[in-house]
Amino acid sequence: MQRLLQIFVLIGSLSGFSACSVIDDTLLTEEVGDFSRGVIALSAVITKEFALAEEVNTLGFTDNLQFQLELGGNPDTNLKSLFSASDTAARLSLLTALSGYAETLAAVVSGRSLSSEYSKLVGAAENLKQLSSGNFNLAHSLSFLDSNELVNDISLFDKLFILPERDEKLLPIVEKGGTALKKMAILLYFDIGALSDQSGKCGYTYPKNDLDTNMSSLRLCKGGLRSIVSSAISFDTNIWKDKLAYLKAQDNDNSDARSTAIERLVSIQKLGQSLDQLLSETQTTLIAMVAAHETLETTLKDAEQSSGPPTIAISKSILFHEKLRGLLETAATVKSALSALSDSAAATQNFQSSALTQPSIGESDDK
Amino acid sequence: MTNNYKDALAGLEKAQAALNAQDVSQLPPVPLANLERSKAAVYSEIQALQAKQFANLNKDYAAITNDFRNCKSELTDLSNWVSAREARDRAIFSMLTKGVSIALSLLM
Repeated sequence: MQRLLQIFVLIGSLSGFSACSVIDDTLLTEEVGDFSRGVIALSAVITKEFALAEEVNTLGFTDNLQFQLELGGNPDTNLKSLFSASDTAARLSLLTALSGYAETLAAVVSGRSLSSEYSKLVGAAENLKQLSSGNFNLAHSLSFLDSNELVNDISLFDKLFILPERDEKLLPIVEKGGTALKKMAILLYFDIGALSDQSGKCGYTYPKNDLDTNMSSLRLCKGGLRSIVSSAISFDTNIWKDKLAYLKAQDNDNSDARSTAIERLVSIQKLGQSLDQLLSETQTTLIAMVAAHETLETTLKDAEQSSGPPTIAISKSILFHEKLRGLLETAATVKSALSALSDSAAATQNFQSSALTQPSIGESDDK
Repeated sequence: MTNNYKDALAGLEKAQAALNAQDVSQLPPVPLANLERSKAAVYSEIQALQAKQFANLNKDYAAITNDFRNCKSELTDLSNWVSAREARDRAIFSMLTKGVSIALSLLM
């Protein structure tokens, strides 16, 4: 409620801006600062999501290795990460640039020196030039040509970083930044992907997506991080299902081992649900971020033209913060679920069924 | 069998679903260990295909992970193991047979 009140005061105060006005209004500074912090927090969540996917993949690898060893098998002991170092670095470059842009906005509006921000941004911009569509997961829903075009558009983001040196006024930065920010959001949206096909065209071609229109209208095919995480969760879940089925067939008393298997089976599925919710909420937060940025642009334009910003546009800024708040709560749930699983994994390593003194592969395999 | 990468991913997912659908409670430890290793190999291949950006998904498929390439012997052992069972057992392990058969077809 207090937030709403602040925004109405902001509307009133902005209506007094002229084209020459210095942007020193406290509420506008707060608004841009909030947006900036929101973008930085969102970037941090997305960075963590790729790390979470690797953690889930490691859990499955560990559980599979343990089970094979218990069965007397000869497992491959080399853990393979999901993403290559260069793909991880590319995503990090993108997210660093996104955060850098947000920090620049906050610095400009608060009148802080841009020199320290600028040096960081130059590095981020250079990294963006090295991006290739091959570093991202887009082939499920975008043609190779469209993927390349999207990544090339983002590499032009470096031109934006010249602006603060040249012109510290917020509006020209926000005007140019809007396009780049939206392209970045779209790239991340596709990279996060979908659990299932959202278009009937997915079976034979790519859905027709206009990347210049509203992000909510994007239709994806199964793939991306959501599908990768879902596969990792399903892999681990099925190890525990198999372990449970195997234990059920044993003659000896293994009720403790069965309880452990049941507990893990349920926990992993719950983690999978929370993790997919986190990824899905990230996509809606990206849409809200783009809308909030458009609001900021409208607000600044209206302020320059001495007319009040539309209230409906302001509500998009609130929506971004609400989505982000929900996202951070879900992220905390996922973190706690994963910690609980990792803690119990250590205890599970001690689990050995006394019945599992079996010959190794290649020896007689009949009971 | 010639497959493009898109078909291969769909095939691997079918193989995985069939292997996962198999009730393993009557499977002895060694074939079960073989099955778990094969499942891990199929999983690795699926993830590698999902994580990779292909310039042309319609190109002819060839296994991209060593895990999957190297699990041919485990899959063949499993196939031979089921084939050597009585008819009743072969029916019990029909999903296993289906999954192994699809996975092997992708390695031909």
